[in-house]
Amino acid sequence: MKGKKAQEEMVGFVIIMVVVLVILVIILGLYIRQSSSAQKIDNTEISQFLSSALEYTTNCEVAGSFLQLNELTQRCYEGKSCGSESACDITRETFQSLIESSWKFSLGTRSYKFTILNPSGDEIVILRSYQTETSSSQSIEASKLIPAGSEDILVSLRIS
Amino acid sequence: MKIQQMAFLLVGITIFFALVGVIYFSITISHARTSAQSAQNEEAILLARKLAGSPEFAFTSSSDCATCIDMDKIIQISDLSGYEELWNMDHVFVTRISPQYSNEKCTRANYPNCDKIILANRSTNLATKTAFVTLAGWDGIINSYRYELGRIEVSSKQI
Repeated sequence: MKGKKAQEEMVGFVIIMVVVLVILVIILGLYIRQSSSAQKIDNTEISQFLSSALEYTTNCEVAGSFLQLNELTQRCYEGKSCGSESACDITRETFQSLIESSWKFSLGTRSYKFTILNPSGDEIVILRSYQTETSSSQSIEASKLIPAGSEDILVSLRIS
Repeated sequence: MKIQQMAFLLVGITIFFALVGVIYFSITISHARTSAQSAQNEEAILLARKLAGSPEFAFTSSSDCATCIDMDKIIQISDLSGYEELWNMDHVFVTRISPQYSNEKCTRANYPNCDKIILANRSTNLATKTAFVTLAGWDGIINSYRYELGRIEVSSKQI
């Protein structure tokens, strides 16, 4: 009789544990779904910024025409220059000007990290708003690929 | 004794479920604002894309940029009030972010040395939504189309 009671209590305890686990899984599922949807939308803004920025007409003149930022980035990857300046320097300056005109950054509140990676994954251009990024947990990031021959250059921007 | 134990158990389970409920609702409420903001941003971006794709905005002079806004075209229609009704918007501003000339409102007289084209500006307290766009316009100095970074700001009772 005593053994049966203990068995019943164990079954009851297991049922409670299962119910609690199911509830926790549902809550976790809802939480993850909401976070990923918010992230997707935030990324859209940066993605849209990168698309518009890559069309930007730069001051780099080659053969009588001014290059767009995506063409200048390809030139930077190829190690070419633009007049007396390096194509990478103009790429860096142009991206810095566009990013800092589009958002307000201040030490301790908001920072950014911009990178251009060659097809092997090495950084060819890197820009940071501050040497130490802010410790904000919310960070949004988007990337764009620029074709360079048979390979792609990866341009990405992260704002924290 | 057994009844007391059962009562303690029931109270414990009730407190536990109440705690789980409180945690769930706090998470839901904290995400509600973010979700609302994100939904509004998404709507603004969709609206901006819709506007950018309309014949009055679309840049069709060159096949280089399918999603660009034609600045030369919209400066021509900025004085025409009928377009406010067509788009059914309370506020439509197209602002150049880079390069910046002056923060003046564009008119046919000062264009292109200005940064803001106002297409609709009814007095409203509605929040403005913005999206990045590429602005295209003919540049006589470089004798070609120049592509610039801009932002479209819209607000309407619909969004």
